[in-house]
Amino acid sequence: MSAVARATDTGWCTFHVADRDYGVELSRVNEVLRSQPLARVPLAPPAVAGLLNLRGHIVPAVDLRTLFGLAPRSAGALVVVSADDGPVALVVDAIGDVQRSALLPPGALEADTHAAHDSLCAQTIPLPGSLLVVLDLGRVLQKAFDRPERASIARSRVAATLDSGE
Amino acid sequence: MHAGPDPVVASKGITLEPLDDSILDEFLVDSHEGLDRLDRDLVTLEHDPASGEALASAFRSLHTIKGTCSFFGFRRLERVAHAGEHVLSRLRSSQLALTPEIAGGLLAVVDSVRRILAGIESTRQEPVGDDSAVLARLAPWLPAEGAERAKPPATSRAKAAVPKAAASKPAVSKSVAPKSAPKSAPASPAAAGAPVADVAVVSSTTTALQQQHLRVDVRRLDQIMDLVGELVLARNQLVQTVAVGGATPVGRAAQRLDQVTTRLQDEVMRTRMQPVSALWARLPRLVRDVATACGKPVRLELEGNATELDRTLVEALKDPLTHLLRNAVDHGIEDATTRERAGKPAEGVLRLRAFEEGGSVHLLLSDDGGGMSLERIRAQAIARGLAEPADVDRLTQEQWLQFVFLPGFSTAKNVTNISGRGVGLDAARSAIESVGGGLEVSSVPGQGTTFHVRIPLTLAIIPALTVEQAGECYVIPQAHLLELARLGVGGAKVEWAHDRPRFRLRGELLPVVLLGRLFDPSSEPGGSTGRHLLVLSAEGQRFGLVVDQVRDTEEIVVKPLRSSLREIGPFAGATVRGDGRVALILDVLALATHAGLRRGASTTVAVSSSPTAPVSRAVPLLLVRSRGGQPAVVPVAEVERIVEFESSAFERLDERPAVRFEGTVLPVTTLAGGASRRRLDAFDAERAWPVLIHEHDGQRWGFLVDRVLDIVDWPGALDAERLVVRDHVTDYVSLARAGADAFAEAA
Repeated sequence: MSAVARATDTGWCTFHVADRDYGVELSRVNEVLRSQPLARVPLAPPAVAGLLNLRGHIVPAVDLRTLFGLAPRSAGALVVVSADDGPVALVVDAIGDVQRSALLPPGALEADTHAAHDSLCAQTIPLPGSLLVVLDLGRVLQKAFDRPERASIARSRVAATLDSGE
Repeated sequence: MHAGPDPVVASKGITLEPLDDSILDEFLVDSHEGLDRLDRDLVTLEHDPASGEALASAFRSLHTIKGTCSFFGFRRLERVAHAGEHVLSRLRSSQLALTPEIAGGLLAVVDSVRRILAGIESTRQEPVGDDSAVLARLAPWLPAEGAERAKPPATSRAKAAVPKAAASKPAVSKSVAPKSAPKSAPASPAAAGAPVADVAVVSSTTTALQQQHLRVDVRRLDQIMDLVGELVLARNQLVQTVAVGGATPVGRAAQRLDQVTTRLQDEVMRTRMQPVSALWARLPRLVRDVATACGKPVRLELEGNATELDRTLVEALKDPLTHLLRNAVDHGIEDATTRERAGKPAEGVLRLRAFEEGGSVHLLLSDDGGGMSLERIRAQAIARGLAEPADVDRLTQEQWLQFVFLPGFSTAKNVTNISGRGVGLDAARSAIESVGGGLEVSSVPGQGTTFHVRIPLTLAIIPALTVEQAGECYVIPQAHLLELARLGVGGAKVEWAHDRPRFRLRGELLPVVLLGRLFDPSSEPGGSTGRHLLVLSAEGQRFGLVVDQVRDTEEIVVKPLRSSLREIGPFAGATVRGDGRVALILDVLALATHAGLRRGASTTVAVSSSPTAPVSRAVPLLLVRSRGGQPAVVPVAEVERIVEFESSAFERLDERPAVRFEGTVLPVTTLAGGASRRRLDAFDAERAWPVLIHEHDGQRWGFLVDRVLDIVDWPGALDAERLVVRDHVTDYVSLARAGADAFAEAA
């Protein structure tokens, strides 16, 4: 993700979570939806907000507020992104604009020289008036789903946790 | 009759574009089918050299391949096939009698052809290679080279051989999906071919059969199935909102739509079904090869090959069945001398029987070998610490047999290259269970072993009951539902045996799962439970499931869940309900495990999906490394959960470390208890720390450890403070006791 193409135009779909600006690469975004009823998944990691019926396909939804450790709030919008193993909906407060690298002020893409980011962040882009944090989708989804914070309803579950953990 | 391309074919060839990929793909699919048939026929011939039918079928198969490949200009393939064909033709005209040498030579031809085809499949070109070894094997029965080339003893050039008369009832030829081949090199050397499908069909029976059949790409069938699934959902939605039937035109249309959808769904499902014989085509050859390698004469009897199964399941069964067969030949059947000493015929018999019963397909694989040696199973189980000597009297034969499904468990005296490595049975079982089936074993000493494979007919659309818990809907596959009871009516209630819920059902005491407590462990224990109890069956055992509400039954379309969500445990998948909302499908087997079933306590042949010892009374212990770096074990039963927290998550509460967890404050200590409590402050690394969560009298305590290592089974008593686990002296810590010590002052 850090190898953002400089020669070609890259676009980001941006959205707001707790008044901050985040974005994901446009090529990964399938669609943007208004908030919809979700089916809760008991015992799932807390950031898994539930399951969404997307025209007959079952799509899990990840609540970015919970994932960022913020207090939950009623969802504003869903950003459906394509992950390696199928689409996932991100629950965000509100949708922003589309930003394109070609329209950024000169040097904006290179402004972010501090490599040690928060692990969920692929890149930070200074926009006029705000900072756009481009999310590393792979890490976001991994943190949302694959944490071993699962109830062990059976021994095999404990074993599975061990396998994925250490 | 056939000598070179006939004019029609040739003229068509000129108008053809450079050889179309799909034509070649079709040739490959045809040829693979033909080779499977050939394998089967040759093995039949070996047992019954007089079978004219098998001979004719074998001849036709090889001939078809040879005929077709001459279009494509696959000279190498043609030569090998032709040599085989020639020998077969001489057998057919009784100029030769089949000997094991000839049969071996012919099978070598099949192997060569397969290899060449594999090369063509990947490169779209005939691979370069030397077939002189194969040809030399057949040389004694071939005429001199020159004379033979001039006059191939060919008859017709049928597109596909006539299906064997013994084959199953006519069905759409559902071929394996053409392997997606690289499209970069479309042209093969000979573009002067004709579409295979255009080749004239000679035999009259073939013509009749083939006109009724159509080759369909499986991916297209899968798409149709997906669409029918959507249609079923739309239908469900419609019939929920419209008064079906009745006087209104919409109502009548909805009723009609309902009926048609149901029929369409059934028909499409049937279209995707494949006779199990598709699965069996390779088995005679497999058994023959394994038997030859082991030096044992073995006969395979197949029965019920018209039984049909969803094709995805046929695929899923391929590997497990291969495992089971290899195992049966290598270990099940004794060598000829042992057999004769036991008064059995020298030739071992493997029987594979398929039948459909109760919405499932059953496969029974029996050998007439010596049966599994209980002594050896016991010895190995005890040697590996999975059972203790005292278990010898306590466990039943069925329970001992369960050990063979454990990973790495093998009673074979010798590891051969065929089996005996202890992989296989556990892999076979997990493969079968992953498609919703089950694998059981029974064995009679001296008389043989039987494996029983059970698999559902289809996985795509199933009838299910919708229940409600805490305002959310869940569905339960109808196949597992036995009966429903209303709690609080006529004295029906859930009773507590200490901390375990039980339900009395006609004199039987069923274990019970309270869905509300399972999903929300913090809910009040022993408090009011739901109002409905479902009696469910899992692998022949019954248990109760208590839910808030029971809704309706409907046909549901099973949709897969992301694997990380499936791993949570109680969910097998999800579906979209009539109102458009998503509902999770409950995994009844996982619930049964939660109810404490399938841990070997039962007398039936329990099928445990967990790869852990199902029967011994060994206590499972969680092996961890404590904060002090010492190995320690705690009973798994005392660990409610394992949760990881970042270093920064630890806070102080009354001078005591704590973390926030599920809305409450969780006090945390180490396994060593109070003495080294202060060590918690000095984190040597910023990382996630595993915390074992223990619940006692509604109070939760956390125990910070350095690392969670494994689960071990402890066969003996747990009265010592130190155990030797994996050759290391290991602290045994009871969380209940350690927690009481550490938190006593706080309370």
